[in-house]
Amino acid sequence: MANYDVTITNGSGSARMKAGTYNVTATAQGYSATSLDPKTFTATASDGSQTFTLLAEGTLELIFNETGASGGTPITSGSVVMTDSTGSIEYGSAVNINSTGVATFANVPFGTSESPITLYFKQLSTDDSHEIESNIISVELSSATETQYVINVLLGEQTFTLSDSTYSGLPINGTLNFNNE
Amino acid sequence: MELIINCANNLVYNPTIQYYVTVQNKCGQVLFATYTTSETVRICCCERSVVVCVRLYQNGNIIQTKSRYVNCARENQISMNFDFLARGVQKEESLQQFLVLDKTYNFPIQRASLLFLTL
Repeated sequence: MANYDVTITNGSGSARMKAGTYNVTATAQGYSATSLDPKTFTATASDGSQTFTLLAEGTLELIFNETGASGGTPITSGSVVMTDSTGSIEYGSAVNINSTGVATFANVPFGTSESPITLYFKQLSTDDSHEIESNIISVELSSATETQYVINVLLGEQTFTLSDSTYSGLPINGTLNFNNE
Repeated sequence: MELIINCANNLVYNPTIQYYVTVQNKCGQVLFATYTTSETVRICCCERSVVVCVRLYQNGNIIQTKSRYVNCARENQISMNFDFLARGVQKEESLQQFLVLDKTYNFPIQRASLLFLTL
């Protein structure tokens, strides 16, 4: 008869355990303890390993607009993905930004106002008339539903003149196509 | 010459167990002696025919002694088995490693604890 309490840091932990089958329960801020999968573990006489998962129940809305605050003109398309703090590791699939500038991340962990959980995001694309947020977006989650605004600056307006090359000043009505190679 | 100290399969290697290895000539004179906690020991064999003795200590007590005649000219690697050590250091626990990930996004959860209760 032996019980073990294993501390998990940055996703990993270990213990020397007697062979046997155990009921496993988890404690982790921001996660539902009942979501632990699997809920039992069998240790053999040999060294071994096991991956557990936990499901969170928070929801985060990232809203991309021209002011980075409520009321700004939203972008109309794009995508964003959860990452580590450096942006080098992506977690899960990219989420599309809808026509009102909103990207919704479901099942995110959340903490409390005293001890929020910080998540990181990287914007992958925006629409044709805005500049992407190039910095990693850091979000502190202290409640089950959170909203954070992200600024996407409106691109500068370029003015063009199209005129007849022979008769200087004669304006031409037409279309110019610009392709970014 | 290299001495490999083999434990039985059901033993866990335990660095707190100390081996005392000696090499003696036919007259019992100690030619080489070393303490080690490694399973592999390089031993000095300066005569053609010697006796290699291994004493196994745990918590300062001798729990095993074995010896073997070795023809140094013919053998450059020898093994000695400690099959009956199971009583003292039988493998009771194994190292279990755990990974805890977010189910949706597959990132490692920063801080958590897992409690294992015997069924």
